[in-house]
Amino acid sequence: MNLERAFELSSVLLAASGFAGLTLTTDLPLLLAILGFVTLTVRLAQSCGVGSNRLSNQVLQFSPTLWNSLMVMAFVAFVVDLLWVSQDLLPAGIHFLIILMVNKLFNLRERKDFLQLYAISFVAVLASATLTTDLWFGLVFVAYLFAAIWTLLLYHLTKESHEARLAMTSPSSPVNASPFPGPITARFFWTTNGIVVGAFCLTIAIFFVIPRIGAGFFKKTRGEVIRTSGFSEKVDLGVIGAIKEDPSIVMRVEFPDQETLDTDRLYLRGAAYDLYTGRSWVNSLAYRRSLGQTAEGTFSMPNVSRGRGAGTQSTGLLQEILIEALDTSVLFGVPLVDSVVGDFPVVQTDGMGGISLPYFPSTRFQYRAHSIPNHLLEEERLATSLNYPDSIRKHFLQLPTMSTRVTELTRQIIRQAKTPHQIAVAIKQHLRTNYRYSLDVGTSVPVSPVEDFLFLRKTGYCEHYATAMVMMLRTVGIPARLVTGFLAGEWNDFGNYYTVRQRDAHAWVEVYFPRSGWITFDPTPSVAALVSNHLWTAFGRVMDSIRLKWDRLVIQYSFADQLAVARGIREGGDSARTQLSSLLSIALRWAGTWRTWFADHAPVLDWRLLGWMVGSSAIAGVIAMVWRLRKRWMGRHLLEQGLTTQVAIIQLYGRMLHLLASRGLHKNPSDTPLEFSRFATREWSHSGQYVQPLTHLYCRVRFGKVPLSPEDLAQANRLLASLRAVRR
Amino acid sequence: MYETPKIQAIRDNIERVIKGKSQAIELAVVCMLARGHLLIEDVPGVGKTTLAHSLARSLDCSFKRIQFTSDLLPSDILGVSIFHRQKQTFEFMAGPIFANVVLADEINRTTPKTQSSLLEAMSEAQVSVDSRTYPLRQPFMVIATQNPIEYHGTFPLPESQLDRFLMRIRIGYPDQVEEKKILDRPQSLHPAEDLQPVLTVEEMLDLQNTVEKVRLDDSLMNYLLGIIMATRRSDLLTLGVSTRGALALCKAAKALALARDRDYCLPDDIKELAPVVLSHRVMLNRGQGFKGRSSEHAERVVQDILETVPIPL
Repeated sequence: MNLERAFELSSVLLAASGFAGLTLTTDLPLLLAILGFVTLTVRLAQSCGVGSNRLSNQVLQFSPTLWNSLMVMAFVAFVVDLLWVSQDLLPAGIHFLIILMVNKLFNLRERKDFLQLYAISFVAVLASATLTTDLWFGLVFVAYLFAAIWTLLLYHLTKESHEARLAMTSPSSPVNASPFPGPITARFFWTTNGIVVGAFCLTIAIFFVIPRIGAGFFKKTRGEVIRTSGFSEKVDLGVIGAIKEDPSIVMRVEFPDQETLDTDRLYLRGAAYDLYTGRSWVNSLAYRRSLGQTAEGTFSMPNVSRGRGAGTQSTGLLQEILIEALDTSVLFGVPLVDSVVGDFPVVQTDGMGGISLPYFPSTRFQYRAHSIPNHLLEEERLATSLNYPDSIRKHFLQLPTMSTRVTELTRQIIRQAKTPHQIAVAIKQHLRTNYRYSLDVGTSVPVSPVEDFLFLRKTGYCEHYATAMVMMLRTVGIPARLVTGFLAGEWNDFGNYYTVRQRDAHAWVEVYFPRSGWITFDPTPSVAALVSNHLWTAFGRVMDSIRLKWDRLVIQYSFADQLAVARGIREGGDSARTQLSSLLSIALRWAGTWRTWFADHAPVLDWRLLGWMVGSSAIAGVIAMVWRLRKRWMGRHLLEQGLTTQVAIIQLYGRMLHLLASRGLHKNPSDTPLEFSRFATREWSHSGQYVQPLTHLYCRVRFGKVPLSPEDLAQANRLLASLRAVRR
Repeated sequence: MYETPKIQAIRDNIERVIKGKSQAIELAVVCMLARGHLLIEDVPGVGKTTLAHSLARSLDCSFKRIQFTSDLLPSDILGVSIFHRQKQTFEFMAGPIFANVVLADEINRTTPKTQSSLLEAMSEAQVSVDSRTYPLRQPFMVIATQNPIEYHGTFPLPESQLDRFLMRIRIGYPDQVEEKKILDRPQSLHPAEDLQPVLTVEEMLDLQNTVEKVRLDDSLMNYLLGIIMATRRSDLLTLGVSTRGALALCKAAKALALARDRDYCLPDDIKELAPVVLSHRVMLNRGQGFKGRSSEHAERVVQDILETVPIPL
């Protein structure tokens, strides 16, 4: 492929990557998207040299006036768009940008058109960088970088060769030789790609190394806020359906301490509710207070460590959670959360052990939660009666007005049960076995959803089950509460984390035991998880894990992460040092034995002298190597300098020939430089004082490969300017 | 390059004897710098012998002249082994070829056998007599002359042997002013004998080595090959220039660059030398109606070819 064509192709690809970035951002109007796509395809095909050029040529033949009037119309449309349609600068600007790009793509005539196209592409990529946090933007960015570097190189190369050729071509003679190789050689191809990779690595290094100050563009994204009606202050039975089917991802949970979990179902507790009105759940202990923060930025829950059962010293579970922007301020975690670390100014807790932020986060964010699960103590499992504190009795035995049928049913179920624990298990088992799980419960809202569920429909979803269980427990005097959150069951084995989707929203029950604390019971029958090992879903999991990495390492990458990386490197260095020193000590021991052996067998050997010799020869070797490398490097440097001065002097001489040709002095292709210099001097004696020194300089640099000094270059430019000023 | 004073000194020295022929003198010196042999094709009495002689004198080296006649034998040039009566052995009596500069006058007057013995010595810088090999002195340069006018009783050198000469030049008559100066000057019998050497043999060998280091840019190499290719394609020629010819032009151009105080060649060097270096290596296409002296025709053809080959910018 020759340079000119490659240059055009890479320019169009640059524009294409900018356009691809824009398509990621907002919901682009279909018309504009199609327009941009079609234009780019046509131009790409044209610059690849495939397809018929008739159509594009026809479009290209539009008169400039027509294009200009089209642009004026587009600008008017932009103003209208800004003021009435989009009513926002960004989308309107993006729409206008695409039209500008289309215009330029059809009008790539001169070099300045290409430059304008690059400016448009750059703005496009910049706009998409500020507007999207999508994974695909990474790809677009790499493509842009690729195209940009290729274009930059080719732009300059074609410019140079164009100028040189222009200078060489005098009207009387045809173009005979170009100093530059026409086609793209394999060496050029790989060098350019090497530059791209180098630039990319440098970009990555800068991205990860330069300290983060300020939030950057990525943090300011508006983000798509996901509606989660399940996490309002009230839980209404009967309005859940659509949410349960929504596959969009809510959060991803990683466990930095352990590779896998032994459970395949992970409860992520959100909010808890104590007061049931007969139709909906309310949190009456919603009064929030701020959590204390330690020096390391950890917010710890005071009551969790107290409510933990004595003797059950479990290590706890550390979770790292990347959560999408939800319309709730609740922080989720495996029950029961002990402490939270995150980039928050304040974390609050309510009376029910729920943790939340005092504000609604507008972006996805990341935090760490440490949980210590409650275990039922053996003595309380066997205890026939338990003494509940008044505060618990007051809040968690409350019942709405409802028929006695519920109480009767409960007594019937727990006939066999002796202890509160057995009662809870019996109720859970009854609900699990005798009721059918279904999201489709009809749209009519019954008077009492619980009774409707228990006696009439016998069909419901998690909130029905959990509410029924809480009610039944409370009728027999066992304190219980409803908890909402997520039940994660989708383990991503490529990235080792749980993916939590909107449809994983769940509700379950917590039963109170005075010494063990709140114990989780889930009366909802487990719906067989639809984990198919289909290739496509596996691919989806891979993609999702890449997306998580992208979010974690690029979008959410912060100063704290940088510190962590630095710490990791230091620790790695430390361990490497200890390993090295142990290796060294082994080597020294070996050396010691050899030395004694030598000392026995060769007593005349002077060890110090030997050490000196080895050391000095090593140093000499290093110096020699450096010297050789230096020479080679210098040589290459000189060669490169020679090449650039070659181009410079050829251009200068070419300009002189061009100038003389315009004064009627044409150089025959077979004229040597000195012959032409003599000819010019003879024909136009005034020019001799400029042409002769220029020619000598040219000969010296061009054929003698003498590096052109800056003074020489200045002198040459001065001579050329003087020659230009002389009239013939 | 700081060699020019020495080269200039030789030229000045020769010019004291041969007036107004600076181009021929320069070419002769360049030919010696390039370790080449020179063929001078001109009428008698224009200073061929004087040129050869004064070049040798300027160098403080030995000089022999061989007058080629039809009865000249190879042994008259190379030397002969003679039985030594006292020592009872054969002794090699070195011929006139064992000199630094050998003038082979009217080379086309002798038989091909004798011609080829000289030409072999020229290309190999050694001679073999009675199955023994004797190296020639260095520097070694043969300056041969031939008369282009008289054809009667001559044996023209075949093209394959002309190839051994680096250049074929003509001296030509001096112009009137110069000729008058020559007449005015007090005549000595052998003006060249009065010259003082200005360069030692070692210095000349050094200069010959320096020629090898002169830079010939890649683009000029292409230009040179372009010329060679054009001679091979030309309709006016039945035989183009051989690779040896290309090598000769390359060497000569470097020597000329050195003589002109440069350590790099210019297109001018090649273009200027091409006629003298190439024209005796081509064969004219007689079908194209060339008549008369072929050397002038050949030179003109080479000149015309030079005008078709573009100079690299």
